Amino acid sequence: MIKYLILLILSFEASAYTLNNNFGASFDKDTVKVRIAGNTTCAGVNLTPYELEDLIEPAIDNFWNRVATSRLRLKLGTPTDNLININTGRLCSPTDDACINTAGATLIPEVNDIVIACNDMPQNYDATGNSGNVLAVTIPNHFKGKKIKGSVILINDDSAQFKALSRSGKIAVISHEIGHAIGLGHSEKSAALMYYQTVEKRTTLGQDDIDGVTYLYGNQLPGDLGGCGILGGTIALNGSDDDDINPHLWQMGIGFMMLLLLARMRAYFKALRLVPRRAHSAS
Amino acid sequence: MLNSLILIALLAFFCAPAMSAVSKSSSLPITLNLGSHTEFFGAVQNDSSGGLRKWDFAPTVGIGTRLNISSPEFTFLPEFNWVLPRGASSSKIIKNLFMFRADLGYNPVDWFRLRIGTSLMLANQYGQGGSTNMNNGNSTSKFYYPDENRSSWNNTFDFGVEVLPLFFEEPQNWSLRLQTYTYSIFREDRRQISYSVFWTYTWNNK
Repeated sequence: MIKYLILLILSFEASAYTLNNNFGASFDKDTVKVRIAGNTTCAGVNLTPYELEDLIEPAIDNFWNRVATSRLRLKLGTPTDNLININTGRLCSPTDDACINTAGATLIPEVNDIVIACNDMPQNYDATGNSGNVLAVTIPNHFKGKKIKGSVILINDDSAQFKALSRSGKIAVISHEIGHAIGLGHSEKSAALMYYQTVEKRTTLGQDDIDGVTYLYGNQLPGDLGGCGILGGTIALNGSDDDDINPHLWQMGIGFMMLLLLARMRAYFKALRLVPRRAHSAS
Repeated sequence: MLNSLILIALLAFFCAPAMSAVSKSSSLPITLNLGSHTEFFGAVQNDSSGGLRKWDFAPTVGIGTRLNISSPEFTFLPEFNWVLPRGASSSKIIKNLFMFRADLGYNPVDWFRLRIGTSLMLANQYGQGGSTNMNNGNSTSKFYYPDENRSSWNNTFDFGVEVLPLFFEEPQNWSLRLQTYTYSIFREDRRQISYSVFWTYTWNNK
């Protein structure tokens, strides 16, 4: 009987998200900035840097920043300085020896947070150079131990398909790549943002995406303040903005205040004889 | 769907005698909740054409009690609910949601109860590891399944309405309830509402 119960339990709809590395890496801070490369031009896909930022903001706010069970908060940051040049040429990850030995190829510069640029080199999107179907790519992240320090997202500046996408389609593509940048892999489910293809319409995250980001960046137990270890909620010590304060304790406080308020209201109405009295059986 | 219904029936079958035995040895009423939980109402895409999920069948079981607070109209209602694990036999990830809850109940009339309270939600995911090859651009790439047990703790602000039908018996031993849970109530960008629908049976009801 136990065996059948377990089989039944395991037969419900499954989570099917994956990670893009085999050690569950995530950013080592709760607030991660997403910024464009300072000298990027997206002429091939007809976007100005301002228009690119205008796509990034909803890609953050309408998707990843809406997950209530995740502590990760993405913010649009200022463009990087012009020393980081990832807008042209073949870029290689440090572990890709074949790429590094290619003439004209350069190592991906180490970046902090998430940096987005447009780049029209086909080999960055497909080793054979047949990059027409690939709209964007996230170059393997820079890790420090099990932590992500930075990620680079390249938008295929040579892609007629990306250029032809609607505004919401472009937002979804950028948001998908940000999903890779924060540590997620693909999902088998077409309802998920992390599905490998664009779909007819993308409005928000799917359950797989929510489960994945919750796994990587789940909210911590109230009172867990790392070394401090006092009751204080999950206040982001490394964040500088007031709105980084996680409102868990506020909510809990409000919940119990409401309970007390109701009890007081009852006493008040009872005093006014507005609360119906019930007959009690004599004991 | 059929499996879920069978599972609920089996759980009820096994739990009922146990609940009855516990309540007989105690002066407190014991409640058993059976229902379904929908996570993040209207905020999860559930198809490729942009449809949003309004209802989900996620079998939920729970146990609780009822404590009177100075008068019959007000009750304190602690409970523990468990949204049963979700994971297919082929899945490498099993997800559990545990709710540690407490409500203040107010009965303006005998057949109706308002509930206001709070929950500590534990969303636990257990990954069994491994990898899979999936489409990626023009080719395929290897992606990895989680291989750890990780949890997200969340506090919610809860509101519920409960109907206690009087037609069948007195005191009313069963009830129907709609329970909502609001996450991040003070942060508009992250505010989400989940809800459960419960059928509740009470032993040792007084």
